[in-house]
Amino acid sequence: MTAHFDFLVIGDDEASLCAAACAQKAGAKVAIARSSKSRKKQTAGAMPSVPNFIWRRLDLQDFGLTLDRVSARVTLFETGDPVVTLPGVRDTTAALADAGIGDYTLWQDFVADAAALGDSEFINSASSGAPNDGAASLANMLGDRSALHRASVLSGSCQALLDDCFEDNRLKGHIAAHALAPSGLGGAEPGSAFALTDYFNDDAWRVRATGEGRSLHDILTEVCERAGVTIYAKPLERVSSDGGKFKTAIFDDDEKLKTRVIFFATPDAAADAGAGHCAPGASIRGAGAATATVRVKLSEKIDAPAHDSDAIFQIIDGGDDLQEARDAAISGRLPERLPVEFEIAKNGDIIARSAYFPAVFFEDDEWRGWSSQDRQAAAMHIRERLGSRLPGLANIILKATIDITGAVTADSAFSDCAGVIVQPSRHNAISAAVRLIDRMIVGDS
Amino acid sequence: MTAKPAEVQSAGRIEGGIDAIVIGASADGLAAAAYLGKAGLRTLLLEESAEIGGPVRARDIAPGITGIDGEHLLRILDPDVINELDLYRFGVKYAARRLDTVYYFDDGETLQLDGDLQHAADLMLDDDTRDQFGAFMGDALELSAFLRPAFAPLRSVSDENATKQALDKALGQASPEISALISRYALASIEDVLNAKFEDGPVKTLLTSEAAFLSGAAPHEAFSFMSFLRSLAGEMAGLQGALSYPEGGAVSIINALRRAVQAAKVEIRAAARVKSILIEWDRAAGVVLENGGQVRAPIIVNALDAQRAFLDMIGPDIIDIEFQRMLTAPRSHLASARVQITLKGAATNDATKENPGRRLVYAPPPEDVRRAFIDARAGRVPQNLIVEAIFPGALDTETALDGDVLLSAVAHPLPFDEAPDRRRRNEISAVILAMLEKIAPDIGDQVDIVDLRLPCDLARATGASSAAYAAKPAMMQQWALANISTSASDIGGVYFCGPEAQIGAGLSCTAGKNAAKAALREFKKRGGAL
Amino acid sequence: MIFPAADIIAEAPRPTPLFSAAASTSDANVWTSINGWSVARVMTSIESEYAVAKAGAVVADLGPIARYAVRGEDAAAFLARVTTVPAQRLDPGDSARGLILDDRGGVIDLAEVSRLSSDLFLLTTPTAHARRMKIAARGMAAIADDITEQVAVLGVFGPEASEALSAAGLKMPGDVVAASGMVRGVETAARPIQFGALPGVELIFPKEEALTVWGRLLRRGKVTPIGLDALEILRLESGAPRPGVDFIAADRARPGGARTPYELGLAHLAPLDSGGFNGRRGLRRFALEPRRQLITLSIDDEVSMPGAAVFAQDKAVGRITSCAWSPAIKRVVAFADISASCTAADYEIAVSGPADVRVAARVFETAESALALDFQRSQSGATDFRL
Repeated sequence: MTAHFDFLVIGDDEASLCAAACAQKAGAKVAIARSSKSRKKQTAGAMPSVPNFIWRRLDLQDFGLTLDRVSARVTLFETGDPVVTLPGVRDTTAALADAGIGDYTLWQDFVADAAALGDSEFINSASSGAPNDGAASLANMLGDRSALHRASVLSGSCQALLDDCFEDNRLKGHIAAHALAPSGLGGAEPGSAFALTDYFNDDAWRVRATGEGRSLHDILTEVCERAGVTIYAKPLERVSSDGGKFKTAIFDDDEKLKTRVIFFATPDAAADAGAGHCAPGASIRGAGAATATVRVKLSEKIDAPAHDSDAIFQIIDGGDDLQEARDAAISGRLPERLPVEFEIAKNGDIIARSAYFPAVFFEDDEWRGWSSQDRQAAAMHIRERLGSRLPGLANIILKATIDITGAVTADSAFSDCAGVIVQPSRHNAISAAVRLIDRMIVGDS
Repeated sequence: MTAKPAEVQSAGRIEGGIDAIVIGASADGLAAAAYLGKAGLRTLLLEESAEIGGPVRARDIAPGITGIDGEHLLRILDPDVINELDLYRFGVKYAARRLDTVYYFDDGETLQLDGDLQHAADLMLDDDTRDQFGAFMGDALELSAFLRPAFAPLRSVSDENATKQALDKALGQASPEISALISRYALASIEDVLNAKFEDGPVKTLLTSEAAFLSGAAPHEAFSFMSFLRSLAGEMAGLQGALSYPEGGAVSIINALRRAVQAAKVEIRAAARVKSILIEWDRAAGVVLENGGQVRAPIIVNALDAQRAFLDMIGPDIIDIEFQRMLTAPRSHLASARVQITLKGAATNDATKENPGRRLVYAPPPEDVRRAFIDARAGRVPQNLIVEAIFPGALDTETALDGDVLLSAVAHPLPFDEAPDRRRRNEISAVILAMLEKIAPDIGDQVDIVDLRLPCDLARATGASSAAYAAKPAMMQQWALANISTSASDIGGVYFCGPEAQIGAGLSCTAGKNAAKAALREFKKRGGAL
Repeated sequence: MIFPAADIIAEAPRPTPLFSAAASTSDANVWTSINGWSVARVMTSIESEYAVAKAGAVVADLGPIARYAVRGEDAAAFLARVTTVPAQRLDPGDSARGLILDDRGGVIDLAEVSRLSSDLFLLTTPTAHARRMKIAARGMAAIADDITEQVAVLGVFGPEASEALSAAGLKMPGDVVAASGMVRGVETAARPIQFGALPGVELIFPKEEALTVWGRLLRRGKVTPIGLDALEILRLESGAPRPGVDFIAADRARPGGARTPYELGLAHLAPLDSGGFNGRRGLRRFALEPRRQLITLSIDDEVSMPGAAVFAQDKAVGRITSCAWSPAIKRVVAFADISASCTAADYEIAVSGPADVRVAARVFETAESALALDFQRSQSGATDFRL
């Protein structure tokens, strides 16, 4: 007898586990398929915070979990002082004033405006990919002037929104870098304003494990097990659909299960599983690009820029870098001035990533996939960028490893996307994934 | 031109006895004036230049050769306007309707599509592609027809509830299937949709180019599919999504509108530049002319661009801060170019000789289209453009030249420049000519005169800001801009039908019609003598 | 001028220039955060501060309130747009109160405008509006500079405020007209203010001089420092709604949460027949059918909690938004946000506790409600400009 499920969640990250546990607890029947790659035992970098409502639903207080907020968002430009913003609005205002940024008085209003903008029901529901009443919500939005204005700003570019608010180019570059770099978007792209407003959500501020106690991933796995989620820890071979309510997922040992919905908590999980093409509105999420993560082991601790080793750092030369890098990535080229995000892990490793690599390369009028030389070049590129902001880095590197996600693979288990739901890239993947799966459960019943 | 010079009439004096003033004799301004005059209002149409038509005008591009600026094909002209203003009686006549299109590809191949998109699939190469294309076009046409009410300027009435009710009524009966399509396509890019439906090949290439060309939206960017749907929502000569060429070119629509305006006993006054709009107790009271004269009227319909209509003529001290912020929210712009070329002798190559009465489109490979939009947005002239060309003389033999041949083309996407220099213009012309070579090899040898028109040229002709003639922004922004600008900051008696009020590119007149109808409703409600 | 609501999350509030002086005088040492600045809630005791304010002269640190210096050719037009104050009609030295409205006539904030000279205005608002000022100035020759951080501000009021200032050698024409000038070598601006029925003067001077001026006032002027809690009683007695407490700014409110001047009982601060302020058209369209009303009540009780339900004829009609014990009338004075359809004079308030107990309350006339009433009377006889 083949097992039947409401949801098959594919992925092994915190967002997937949270979504699975919450859905199971809400009464759905859920299975998790861990991706083929086994999770490497490494010092975790910053991750999305667990919003309070999920904390309560999963009773995470029972597990002695402690998480630290990332201390600051810092942008390191080619020249001049770093620009720093902090979790508190007033602290940020003061920091900006100290840094001589003339627009500091506007920060508070900007944050409030950006948060209010994110409150666009139409765009939020249309971008989630969940079933919803498109016509009615379109009519509602068109009939309400301020809702329509919000939707229009969200559908515009991040750059236009920032130009309307600020004059200081460094501040604009800083905001754009932190808001857009995680999803690899360009500042001038229509729709990039959406990522910007998402970033001003309270939950968007990332957290980091304290290094004591169990990791969030372990705890969530246990929560899933306790809740009764079925976990399949083997590679998925193929997914097929006979057009009925259920899709059949077949594992590499020929075990089968049937599920109503295949759920990806993040676009990265979908890309990993070869289902990147199933995402709706792929362009709003920075599709067409791959993400490279480089971990650098050092022989000694490095001095953190801005004297803050708990911050998230962005490296850009100027505000236009993001769009240029995005343009290069989707045209199949390596960007010249690669935006790189990095942090210093508790054990002193540097974890650097950039979502501005091409998913496929375009060379000599041909599209081609990633080669090992490309991986080397990407790692080199990121190391160079790190070196430009961390003097002396080159001399203390012991080892660097690179991991690429989102690169286009030749064959995909997902020929048909019906019944496949992919949560678009959000600053807080956990919160977004749980909200989406909740909405789908409500929609079902 | 029956207009009288303005100075003689109004310098330094106050005129009254007028019910409505229309500012700007663009197609929308003319349509609005005709509606108002036809309803019995004493209407005055003020145009600051010596000619009517806004950006659509006939102009000598070379001695003895008349070109027509503005649109060269019609795709979204409002059928209500044609019927209600009796434009067929006033001279609108189609020289060619349901134009077939021939697509030229990078590799030299061509593909011809029927002008009736419902049947376009019949010409497809193989059964699979035909079915796919047919199903896709069927969905797209159905969805765009359904969304038609949403593509009209939304609020020329200041009553928000009425707008909401009208929209609910129009969109509320959506079937679950339509509703699901709307959710799925609302934010989608053209590439998303096409990649999900089609394999690589000529059909995907032509659809990418066509969608990007008609909508002006970059195919890889969010919201672009909705723009494409808008461009299919038009109805020409009773056929949805079709393209037509009117006898005498687009300027013939202007001429017919002018006759309709005259028949409606509207006074047209040319060379009358409006300096400001008089607002008394938050209601329109008339206009102040540049020459110092005043004309008083309780209804002002403004067909100029929003910047001039609200910020220059009414002023920030009158309009609401929120309205100003929404109206002036920065947008990034792209441009299209219109080029008219005279060729020495008839085109000699086969493709063009075979298809003179068709619409010819060069469809670059999808990645080149994507790169072109990236370049244009970054302010560079792309190396590849989508080009649409027609031979007006072949479509409308009346206008054929002796000996020479006129070719009219539109190219997209180009960077938006406020004031391009000569080098930039030459660069643009050169790329367009290179693209035309793909349609008609060796055409370069025959080229005589190249007349390039960019948004800034149209702006100079009409006195508007260049941004008013830039390519249309993302759909959601068009919606917002149209909705906000037509609300006129709630100033009583002011109605707006400038370029920002229109959703989608092309000659439409819907904004003019809606503005006039809203004005008439208000006029009646306030007890206007009718 | 009214303080806005205290910050919900007080992230390390900054000291105002007067902080150290106030801290050294404060016995109670109870602080709160307003607009990110530290403000003393109590100095010695609420009762004694209140008593001195009614009989003598008190001084308050008004530093946390946002202030703009507005200059430029269109300064008056700018202010007449952003606020409901017809700034063009102010002569140098004049001050006027008004509101900041959004395009639908919803109240964003209170405002006070003083004309210091022909081309310089001072705008005071409980909270800062940096972005709004910037947008509103587009297309106008006017600049609104936020001077909050550059200045120290003292409010001196009470029946003997004028004498106290003279005694301290800080006498400016400020209790009659707004003016700026040099006092003992320090550039100072002064303008008359009202705190409830109490007359007063606001002194604005460079923050570097803060401690000198404060010291002089306390030593020579014999004024008593007053904290926020005593000011709160005076505010409630005067009937001035507090932004963020009695109403939520329209630009931050949830749908349906915005309030019009009519609903707040402040129609007299936004007269439709004068001036071209922002939101006047929205006000005409939406505000004439108020859905809620903010009333002042006196409650026959000694303690009453904000948020308590208000009943009229046994039907719940709204809630208390703010309240305080008034030593003057020996009752609790309160603001209540209730349904607009309610016209009763007598109400009942649910008292929290194990039993369902209700205490009597009645509408209470304040200086502000008297102004509103006068305005209403004058309007009913005037031409109707609502087109």
